[in-house]
Amino acid sequence: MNPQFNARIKKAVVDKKLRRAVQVATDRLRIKKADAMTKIDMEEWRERGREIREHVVSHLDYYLAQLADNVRQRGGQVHFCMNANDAVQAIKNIVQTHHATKVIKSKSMVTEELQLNHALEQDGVDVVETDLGEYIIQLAGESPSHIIAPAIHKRREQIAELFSQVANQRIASDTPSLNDYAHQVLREKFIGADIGITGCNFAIAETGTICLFTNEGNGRMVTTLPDVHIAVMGMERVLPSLADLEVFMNVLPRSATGQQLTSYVSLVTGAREPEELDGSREFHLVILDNKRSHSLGDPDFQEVLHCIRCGACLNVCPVYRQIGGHAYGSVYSGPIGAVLTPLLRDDPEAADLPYASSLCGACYEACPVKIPLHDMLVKLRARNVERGHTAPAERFAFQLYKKTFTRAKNYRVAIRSLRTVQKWFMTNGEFHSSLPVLSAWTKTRSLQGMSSQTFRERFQKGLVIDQISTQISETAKRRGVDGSDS
Amino acid sequence: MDQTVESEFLQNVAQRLGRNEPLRATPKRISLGAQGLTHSHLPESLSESYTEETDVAFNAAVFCLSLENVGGQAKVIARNEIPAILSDIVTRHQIHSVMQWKDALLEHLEIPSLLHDRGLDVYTWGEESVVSKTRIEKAQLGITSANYAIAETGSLVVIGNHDQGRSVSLLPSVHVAFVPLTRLYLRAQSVLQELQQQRMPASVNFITGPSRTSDIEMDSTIGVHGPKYVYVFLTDET
Amino acid sequence: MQVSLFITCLVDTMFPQVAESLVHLLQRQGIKVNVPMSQTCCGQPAFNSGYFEEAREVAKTWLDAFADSEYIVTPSGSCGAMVTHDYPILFKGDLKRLALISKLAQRTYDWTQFFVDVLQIEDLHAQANLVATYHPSCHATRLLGVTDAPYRLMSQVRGLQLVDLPLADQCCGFGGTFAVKMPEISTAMATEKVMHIAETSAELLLGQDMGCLMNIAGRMNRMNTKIPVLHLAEFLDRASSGIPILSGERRV
Repeated sequence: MNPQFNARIKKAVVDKKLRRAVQVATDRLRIKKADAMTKIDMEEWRERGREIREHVVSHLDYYLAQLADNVRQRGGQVHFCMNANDAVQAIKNIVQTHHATKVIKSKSMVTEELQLNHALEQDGVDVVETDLGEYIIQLAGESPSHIIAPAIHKRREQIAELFSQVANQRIASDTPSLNDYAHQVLREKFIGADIGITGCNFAIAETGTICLFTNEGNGRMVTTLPDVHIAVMGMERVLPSLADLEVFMNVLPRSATGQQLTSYVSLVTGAREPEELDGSREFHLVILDNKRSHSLGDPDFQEVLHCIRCGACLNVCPVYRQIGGHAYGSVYSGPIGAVLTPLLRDDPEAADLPYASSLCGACYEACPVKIPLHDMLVKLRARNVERGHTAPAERFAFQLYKKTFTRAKNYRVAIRSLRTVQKWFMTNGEFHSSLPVLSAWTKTRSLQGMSSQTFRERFQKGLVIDQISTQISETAKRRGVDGSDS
Repeated sequence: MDQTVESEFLQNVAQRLGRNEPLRATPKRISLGAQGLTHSHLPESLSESYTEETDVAFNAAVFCLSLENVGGQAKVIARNEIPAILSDIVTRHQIHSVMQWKDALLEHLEIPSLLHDRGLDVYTWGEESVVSKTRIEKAQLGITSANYAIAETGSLVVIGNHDQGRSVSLLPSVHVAFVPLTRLYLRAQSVLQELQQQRMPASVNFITGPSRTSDIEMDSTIGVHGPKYVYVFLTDET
Repeated sequence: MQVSLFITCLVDTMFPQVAESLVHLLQRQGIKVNVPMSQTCCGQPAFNSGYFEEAREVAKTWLDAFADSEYIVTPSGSCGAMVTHDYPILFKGDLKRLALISKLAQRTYDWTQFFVDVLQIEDLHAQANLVATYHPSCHATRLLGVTDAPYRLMSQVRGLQLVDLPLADQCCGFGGTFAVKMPEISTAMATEKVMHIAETSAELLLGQDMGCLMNIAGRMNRMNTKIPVLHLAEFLDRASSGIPILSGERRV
């Protein structure tokens, strides 16, 4: 500690009036509104967050090597895995070496990507998710529908039903009863587990530390009680130093849950020290590529690796709001899922996800590291066009669009012809609701026809003259309108 | 670990980034951590009351309010208040089993003897060479003295070692920490800096209020796995 | 000062009165309005659908039409943002055009920005004794940075009581081709928007982009929610020239 600071403290603490001073300060703070303390200039911090993520991702080779060295220095084992299969195999090997039968997990999206639970269960291993939301969906046999709140789609009555079945007795559906039941069941699982598996919010390269942000405390349980701890991370989740962690301690919880800080931030560096009496005795870090590297060096998509999985883009997305997470049919949902999934998974279903966006830009606005998700969605659509993945009718339509709109003359002719034919498809100035193609609009929304004259036709005929201006000033009138055709 | 897998992995990353082989030299940074950023609007917005002489009091006040905001309780106490405080907590939470760190400050404050005097079942971490999981599971109250406290967020920072079990601040449903004011900082930055200057401990936990979850219909509730109740007593004893 | 009007194809063909109102408002400030007749569409429908080659060709038409413009003013923030935000993506690597785009992007304004920031005029001498609510369009707000300009203009209208629209910043579900490519989601979004509008006590919905307003009004018709919808330019034109606002011919 800074000696001057220490001296000041010493001076202050001998002051008999200290406690009175605290009271005075407290009262002042209360008046000044304590919530001022929780506020930061988010713009400034977002920009710094972006800068740090950009730096790490563009030097990922250096930082991954540094991370691995430091983890090993602290007695940990590092497993680099090119794909999901390799990662599952690496984890299975650890489980088998320890003859482990009971595995507990804290929330990890990357293990969802591996479908790890299923793989371990096939080997007869009892795998229990311990995050309350994850536990609920595990009982329901479902997958998470939100990065941060995996059981957001479940109603309390459904949860009570699930718990009651497992408990073989009626569990009430109020939050405290459900909570108490989960606490009791999972506590037994924590105590008896052989291996704990966690994800990794960030890995600090300079110290070989993995950081877990949790609220429930299960992350701490999973890393404290079983003898073996396996942390699984997407290869991009690195930060250079502890100093950088401070930035993300400020932006991650605020973006994810609106908290100033989560209840727990756990920094785990290797296995327990030899003199320690609790904590895991063995530490493994699984580093997964799984096609993440395909986005490296790609100017259009590298930024997707800046993501810190806060879920803020899901929370603000009007599409996610209407359809929920499962509709995306992928591990990652919402705007980040619509971008990330087609980059990690090259199949037609994934290729369609970027269309599930109105491109409103709310995701970009909310992103704590400023990933231009709305632009990336468009670029992924362009990739589909380039690869010939779009429908022939659509391609034809845009060919026609190009022909029509590249010359004003073609445009005028097209408008005139459409205006002539539109009345055949209309009643009371509105298009029929059953027309092919147009019905995608008209089934649920009325659509009026084109105006009898376009603006430019009226303008050229001199019909667009403001009466008021004319009255006010003759000069204004002379200067006012100047149509130019080219 | 298979060395070839690792080098192929890193080689691929390097190549994708346009390098022939993985970068070995430390890359230059344009900014480091939160350097130069404006933190929360304190103490600037209260500059008239924030002076060097009173900053400990100020930090303590910020700590207490921050912890209260997240559902914990904190207070600056005098030594003679401790028996009543402990007695109150033990009664309120119907405590009969306690687990505590083996800690100089706790001993100095005579916490262990106060607990024994009340006839409680007390387990002191580090006194036995093996920890029995069932034994520590029983404790309803965990008593620690945090390594650091952070005013801005109302956080405790606990480091695991032989005498400071990770479980003590985790398993019991009530967590009580006695923290010397000398270990109180305004911001996490100072704590992270101190950690950087030493060999990184195997376990560092920032604890901010009680355990909580919003996983049931986004209804925020406390105490699903970790302690439901967090009490912090700041003291000028060291 | 000469202003080139960036009409947008939607306004030109379906809502000419909006462009007409905008011309009136500009003329009243003694501004010379020029309408480049070679303009067609900015290319956004093709761009947003990923047809970059087609979008580029159409965008070139736009660039040619406005190459020499001093100020480019549009009644659609979305089309404005196509120029300022999307053209640089579309013409990546085409240094000559990027230079032109950068020049023109600086000259392109949503019309409310142009009044408030360039002309520094907020009071259009308008009067309207009614209660209205306002839908801020996503592209104008998020991509073009139009935040308080529309509100400043509205705040000067005598008699106008502006009520807050719940979740105002949420997209109405238009999204151009999104509306027909993902009609179910788009409709669900529009439905929610209409419900929020109906929750207010507003007699009128104002907005700044005809795409969004056409979507909202179209959905309102099918939901039997009868709240009139007007583009802010048309509203201010009417309110400042004594034309009845809620009666008479309206086209949305």
